[in-house]
Amino acid sequence: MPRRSAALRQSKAAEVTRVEANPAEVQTGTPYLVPCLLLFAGSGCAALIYEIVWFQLLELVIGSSGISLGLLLAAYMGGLCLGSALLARLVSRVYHPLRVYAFLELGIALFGIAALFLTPVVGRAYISGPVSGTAGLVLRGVVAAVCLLPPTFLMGASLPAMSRWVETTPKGISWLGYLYSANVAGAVTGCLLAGFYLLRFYDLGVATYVAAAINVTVAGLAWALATRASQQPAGGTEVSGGIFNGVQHAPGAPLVFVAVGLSGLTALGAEVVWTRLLSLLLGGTVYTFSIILAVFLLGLWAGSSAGSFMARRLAEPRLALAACQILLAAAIAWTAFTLASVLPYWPVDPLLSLSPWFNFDLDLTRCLRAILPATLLWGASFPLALASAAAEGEDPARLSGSIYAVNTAGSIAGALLFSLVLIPGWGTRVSQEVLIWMAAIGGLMAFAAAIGGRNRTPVWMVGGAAAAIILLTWGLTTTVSDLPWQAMAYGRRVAPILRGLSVASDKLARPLFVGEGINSSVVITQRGEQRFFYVSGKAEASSAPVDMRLQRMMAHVPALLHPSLPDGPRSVLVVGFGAGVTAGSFVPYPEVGNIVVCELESLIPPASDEFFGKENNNVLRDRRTRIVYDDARHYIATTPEKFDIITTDPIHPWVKGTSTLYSKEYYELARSHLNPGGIVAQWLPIYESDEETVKTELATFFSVFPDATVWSNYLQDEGYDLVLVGRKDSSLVDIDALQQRLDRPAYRGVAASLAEVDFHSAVELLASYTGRASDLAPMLAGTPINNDLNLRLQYLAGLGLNSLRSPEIYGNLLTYRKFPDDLLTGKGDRIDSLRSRLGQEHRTF
Amino acid sequence: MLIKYSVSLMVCWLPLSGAAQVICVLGSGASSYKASADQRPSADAMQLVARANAAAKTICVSNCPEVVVFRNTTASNLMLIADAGRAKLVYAPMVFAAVHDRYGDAGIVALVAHALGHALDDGIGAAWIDKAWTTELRADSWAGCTLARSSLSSAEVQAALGALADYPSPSHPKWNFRLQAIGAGYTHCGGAGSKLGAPK
Ligand SMILES: [Zn+2]
Repeated sequence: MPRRSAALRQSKAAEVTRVEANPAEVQTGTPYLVPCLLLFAGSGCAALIYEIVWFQLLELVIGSSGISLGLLLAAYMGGLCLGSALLARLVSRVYHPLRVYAFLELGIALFGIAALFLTPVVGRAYISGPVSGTAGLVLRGVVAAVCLLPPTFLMGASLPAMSRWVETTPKGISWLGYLYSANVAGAVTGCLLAGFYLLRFYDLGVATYVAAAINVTVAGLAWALATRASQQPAGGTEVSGGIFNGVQHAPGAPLVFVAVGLSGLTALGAEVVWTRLLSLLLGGTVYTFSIILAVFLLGLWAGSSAGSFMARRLAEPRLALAACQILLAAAIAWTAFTLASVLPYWPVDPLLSLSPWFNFDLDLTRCLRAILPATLLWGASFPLALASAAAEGEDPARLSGSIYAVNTAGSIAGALLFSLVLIPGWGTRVSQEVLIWMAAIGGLMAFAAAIGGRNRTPVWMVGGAAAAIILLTWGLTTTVSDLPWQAMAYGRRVAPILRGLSVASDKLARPLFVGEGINSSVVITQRGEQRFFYVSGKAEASSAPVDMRLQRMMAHVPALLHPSLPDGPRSVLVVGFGAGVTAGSFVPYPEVGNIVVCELESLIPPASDEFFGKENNNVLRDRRTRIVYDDARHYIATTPEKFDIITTDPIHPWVKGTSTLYSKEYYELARSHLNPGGIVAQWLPIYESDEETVKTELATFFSVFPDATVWSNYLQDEGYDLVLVGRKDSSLVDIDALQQRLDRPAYRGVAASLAEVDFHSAVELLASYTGRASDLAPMLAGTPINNDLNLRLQYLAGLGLNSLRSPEIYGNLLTYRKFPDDLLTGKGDRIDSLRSRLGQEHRTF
Repeated sequence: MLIKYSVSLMVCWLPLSGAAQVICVLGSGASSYKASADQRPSADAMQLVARANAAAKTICVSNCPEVVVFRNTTASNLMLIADAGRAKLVYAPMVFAAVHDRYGDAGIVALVAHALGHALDDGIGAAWIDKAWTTELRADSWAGCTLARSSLSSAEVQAALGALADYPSPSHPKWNFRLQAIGAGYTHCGGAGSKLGAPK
């Protein structure tokens, strides 16, 4: 922003060259504008596919923590901003705008394909550099910038490049607006195409090639068009090809720039806040994220089309801009009200749906209801700002470039401010109040710009209007309320639970802790004697027997299968803290000297320490415990440490972004960080899941650990959990030796920890054996694997989260169970007893 | 659907209303039972209930009470509830899963037999029943009788006794008294005494 205003001041000082457009030339470009709109829609479509692909690629390199995502967004949008601001200065007007555009598109295609192959190379280079502290942060920024700036610079430059095709008359400005809206319409298509088709059925590679093919097609068509259409000089003649040629902006334009910058800031800030809240209410799958983004872009498209239409007809575009921004304040309040006081109470229970597509339909409806009004106004603001800042005869590339650049700079600021500062610091309610104030300030700026040129407007009228706006804004902020904690805890099932139609009845529950962090929202509740821990609208842990059993199994199964009996494992890594019960279950092991916990959300460990201290053995206060706040992929990839046990208990794979902790590459990474004899344990939910999802999860784990075994927590009322165990060696597990170990005085704490969750002996623990890779191979034949390039799992799991098939899935698994004679051994009663228990017919109650 | 779950003594699947009285609770979990969360029983549960039911029917023949079976995840045990003149058997799937895990089919049959014992005791009497016995002991005795008619192997009888011992109601007397009552019912109804013995 400071640099921008400096440039503005300089341009004012520069020599003004005003050339009247030749009326005969005005029409030359216009017949080709309709095909140009189509081309531009193509660019927008490709750009959004790239955005999704690149974020997915780069999150795997620099992690998906809040800071890393902020850096990625800043780099992506920064490139757009720089490209749009600098094109007019770097590319001379002597070139045909369509040819420039064609080159830009070709460049984007090249960079897009290069990113697919070079990002992993950059990733390897990155791992060898510093990863923590300021140096690490700078390096992450450098990686994001190196990978994203070149292509996004070209993307950002395409609007100003193309806009040289029009002239800065009201009609021309209107066309600029249409170009922008065509671009956004393409983006809507790209968002849905990538989210619901390309990445669901194919992978990042195919999505990249499709986007590149669109770029190349667009480039070819643009080139062909260029040879047919004569170059149209739009605003001014080439003076020097230098920096300061062209016409200055209209008087009062700086205020318009502030307004459009604020518009960008509120737009992205709101996108961050609303995505957080909506994904809680809808269930944060890849699909709901695509739907939210698509609705957002759809509103921008419709709004910018309407704004473009108005721009050429309005005598006072600045007043219209002011009105848009002030209405925006009201629209943001509307969204806040809808999100907190309407949508959680809509009678929606996704479990009632026979097909996920009906749920998507409802998601779309709810998004439209909540956010469409505001997005229309943001969309309309852009062309109105173009019209408000335009001076007759100005270089349209410079005009659209600077408006776009300021808008994008505001967007970057908004995204970072809200995701890294306001939400974690003050919560979503205050964030939304800030949004309302900022929109109103934007309105005041545009209002000031509108009346600034007119000396005759009486002071009392101006003052009165400003006071009215301020009063109105204050009134609007008082309507904003917090999202009910129940919505934050129960997420997509809040309505039936509030209504008492679900097991997790709300009546008896009271909140102990409600917090909004950089990455997720957390609620801890008390219901009767039990405490429940919710993240992202989903129960992640609890002190209920079933959950306690699973959480303890995640530690005890790998620890007791560890081959170095009688000494056991010394160092463990726990990925995902949750209530801390898994990490805490390592506390009683006398030989464990090192418990490393890796957790993404810094809000979680202190809260769990306070409310689950008894259940988690106060693990955070144990001197052996060390906590790392990072994305687990990033941490494991960059740490030189190795572990005896790595146990991963992430959130459910239907939550967007989690499937990177269920991918082939993740398992390989974990295996490479195991000491000899080391064990990897992975939580795998079969509730809120379906057959295809579970098969892919199993097949992926088995592809890295061919000797893997499956253990189950079957004391579930509404479903089951599995614990997958991958071992680096294949030694036998002696049930008698295991029982002796549990009987040792030093292991009294371990035995007690097991007994608390109804495992009273080695036999009972080993009776949770459910199967292994070799026996399950026939069931998994031909099952696709979840890898980094396709992240197929999040697309599968996102369709299966409302399935109620866990008893069938579990029953089916058991039909493949055979007694593993070459794994579990022993003499006498114990092994016989285990044999008979594993041979028992499975029943579903 | 209704027909499928009407194995009757006993078993149909109808919503009940009116004042309900809990007659017996097996297991120790604190109950947060909500009748509104009653569900249709699973097929496996019905199969085992039907097994106990078939055995009990050989005792009461034409004078059998009606018992309605429900699955309920808010229950934390197995309950027999008197509701508007009918008996209602509500099971917590978690508890059934745990019992089955440790004692197999016979464990479930035994617990159901005890609950049905309360219902039988309400309608008929038997010579072997000691007048001094509490309702719980009488129900145990009927359970013993039912188990005798269930064609269980020795191992299954042992498992059944284990389950009964492991899942007492809060008001249940000491196990040796219970074993006596169960044994009386078991032997009077034709069970082979050799299959009995101390559980565990
Ligand atoms: Zn009883």
